[in-house]
Order: sequence, then C-alpha cells, then structure tokens
Amino acid sequence: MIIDVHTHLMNSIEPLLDTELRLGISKMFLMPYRALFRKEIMLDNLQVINAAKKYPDKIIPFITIDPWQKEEAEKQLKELISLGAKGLKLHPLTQGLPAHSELYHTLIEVAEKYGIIVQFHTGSPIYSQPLQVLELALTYTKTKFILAHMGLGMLWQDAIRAAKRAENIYLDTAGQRFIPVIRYAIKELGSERILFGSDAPFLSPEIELKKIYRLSLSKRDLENILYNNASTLLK
Amino acid sequence: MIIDFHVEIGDNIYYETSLGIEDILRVIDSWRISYTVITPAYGVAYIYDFDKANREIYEICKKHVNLIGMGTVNPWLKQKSLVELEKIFHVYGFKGLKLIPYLQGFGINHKIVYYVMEYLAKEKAFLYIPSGYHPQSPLEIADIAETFPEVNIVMGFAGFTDFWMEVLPAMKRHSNLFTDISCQSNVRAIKEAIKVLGSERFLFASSLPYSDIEIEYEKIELLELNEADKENILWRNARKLLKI
Repeated sequence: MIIDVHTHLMNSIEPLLDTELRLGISKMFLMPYRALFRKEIMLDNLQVINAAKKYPDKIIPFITIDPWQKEEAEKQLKELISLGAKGLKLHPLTQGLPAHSELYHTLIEVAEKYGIIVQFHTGSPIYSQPLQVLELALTYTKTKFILAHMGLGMLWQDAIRAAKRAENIYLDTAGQRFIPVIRYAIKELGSERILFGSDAPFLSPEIELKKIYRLSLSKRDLENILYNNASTLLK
Repeated sequence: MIIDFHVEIGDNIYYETSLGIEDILRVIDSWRISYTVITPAYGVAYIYDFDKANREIYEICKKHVNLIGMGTVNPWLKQKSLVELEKIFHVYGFKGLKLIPYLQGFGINHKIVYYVMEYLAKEKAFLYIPSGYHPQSPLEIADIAETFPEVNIVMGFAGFTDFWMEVLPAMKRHSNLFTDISCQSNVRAIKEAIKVLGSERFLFASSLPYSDIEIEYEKIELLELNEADKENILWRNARKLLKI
C-alpha cells in the first residue's frame, strides 16, 4: 500500500486516480491547483472537498487560502475545515510572501487549533525557504509541517537542517531532482519523517515513485516512506 | 543507439556519493550505451584542482573508447586556465568544457567568462553548464549565448527546478542553445518545449550519480516521441555536438 502525500486537482479527478491506482498508490493527499494562483479559490477548494466525499477511502483533502485576504482568509479556512479539510497547503512563491510572514501565522494558528496538517511548497527562493518554515515549526510545535520537495535544487541542505531542528517537520520527496539528496536526508534524519510525494499530475508519478525504489532501501525504510509515516500523520 | 551526455565520475563529498569507472561501464554494458561523456565530480576539481581532474578524465578515456571526456577550468584563475584550455583541446582531445558558476563563484553572463568563451569559439567547442538557479538560470545562459552566438551551449538539467519555465524562451531566441533533459522532473514542460522547438536541440543524459539511467529513459518513454525525435534526443544531436 502506498500513500502519495502530494497531488493536485488540475483537471478531473478520475484520470489521476486511475494513474495512481495503476502504480499501486491507494491513497493521496489532494490539493487544489488553480487556487494556489488565486483563481476561484473557494470553488477550487470545494472541488477538492467534493472529490474526497466521492472517494473517501482514497482522498485526503487539503485546501489552500490566500493569506492576503486576512480576516476573510481565516473565515474561509474555518469553513473549509468544517467541511472536512484535513490539511492546509501553502505556497509562498505563488502567494507572494515569505513563509514566516505574520499573515501566515494567523492561518497556522487556526490549523493548530483544529489539528490539521500544513504543507508548504519549499525550494523557490526568496519566499519558499525551508528555514523560514522552521521559524513557524518552532513556534507552532503541535502542528505537523510537510516541506514539499525537500527544498528542491539548492535548498535541500536547509530542508534537512530544518527537520533536524524541529521534530514536527516532515519532508516530501516530490520533484526532488537528485536521488542522492533523498538518500542523504534518510541518513541524516532516519526514514520516519520522509514522505513519498509525486506532485502528480503536475509531475509524473511514475518517475517520482521510481526514485524511491532506486534507493534500494530496507523493507522498513521503504514502508515508512511509502505508507507508515503518512498513515501516522493522519492519526 | 544511446549517447549519455553527462556523467560525473569520482567522489563527491557534498552529496556523499561516489561513482567509479566500473559503475559507469556496468551501465554502458547493460543499457548498450555507445558513448558516455564523463566529467569530474562536483567539488574542488572545479575550483583548484581542474588540471589534475582533467588529466584523470583523459587517462580514463584513453583506456575506454566509449568514454568521451569533458574538462573544466576556473575562469577566476586566468593564466592557469589558459594553459589548461590548450591541454584540454590539443592534448586531451576533449570536445567540450563544463563550468558550474554557482560552485566556481561567478555569473555565467559576466565578463570574467569571456576569455573562455573566446577560446571555445576559436576551437568550435561546446560549453556545458548545469542550469537552474542564479547565477546560471536559462535566461542568464541565454545572455552569454547572445554575446557568443558562435559557441554552442548545452544547458544541463533543463532548468533543473522551477527554471524549466525559462528553458523555452531561452532556446526560442538563441539557436546555439541546447539542453539535456536529465534531472528535470517536469516531463510536461519538456514535451511542450520539444513540440514548440523541434527535437534537434535536446539531449539525453543520465547525469549519474544524481539521477539514474532507468529513470531518465522512462522520461523518454513518457515523452511519447516519434522514432525520429527519439533518435535525435538519444544520440543524433549529441553526435553532432561531439563530432563523432
């Protein structure tokens, strides 16, 4: 069994589900896509919630909120949590502010209060920097933060350092271009906070999954990354 | 036929990897690769020890006809680099040069690189740069391509991360820009770029040890290319650049 902690609803859900199931992925964290670019934010979020209602055993709904909407943002977040959102996706690069900005703090406070997971896009300076998310993780210690892409190209080292310093930080493998970086992260952190993610259908889940298999991991580490850790996060 | 356009050989302390000649030969054998272009491992070879590293690459290539060397110099060290460029192209017979601006410490479009580019133009040799963030983003590389239109420049990693979005505009404007598609996870972006530009300037590479031949080949499959485009990317385009 495999859980993919990073997918997006870019078109209809069924082709994505088919691809993931064909690869042995039985559950996925589903996030909006257009809403990350401030397009029809609530509509896009509701489509994710509805997809999860349609496929409750396969989809864990994540939503996103534009922090620049301030009070309205907080209201929208609470509403979406009441409708079943299990996670909050934040994307400082497209949302146009540093990850440790005050505007994000307000949303994280709500996330912490309701116990939902927070996933941050990381690896696109100047806004999506892992050490900026660390500032949040050290402040909101009960919240579980996923650093998507584990810092991407040049900030992977910061992503690993951030996870070393805060036990509530997890790293997802989606789109991490260098296989040795994933291996390095496992060596530094152990496998318990590394999560398989594909970023499908934006990226190719076939490729992203193959990267994990090419690591030649122990059965325990492989199971942790592909399933156990995500499963624990959801409890 | 397959030509693997980029592999780094040796110990890499920054990423804690190591790739030996036996590893490369094993891949060549199992994937029936005709030629592999080898370069020194990321590290001091690109800063101080480029003369030693280039000689090591040359010695390896002498023993293995299917390995082709790609050397490096450090533009900051002009006198030493000029001597080394002579060796690279007239003693070792390499066909191209690799620079890593973010390791070597300069902007790829800065004047500090011009004497190297002038040398490459004279030798009709290509330049390989792993592309990605500043100071080697595709549009920064496009700027040096504009200044030296007679030098073919290969952008490694097709923009690497988010900078896939600069690959298409850079290549559209500059016909002397090529890209390898290794380590770029955004297959859709590569597909779109090939659709717009044609397949003549795209190259296959494993970029071992950073990626993996099986993963990179699967990308070729996911691109759903016709046979002619597939051949272009797998070997024809590389063969022209390498003049083999």
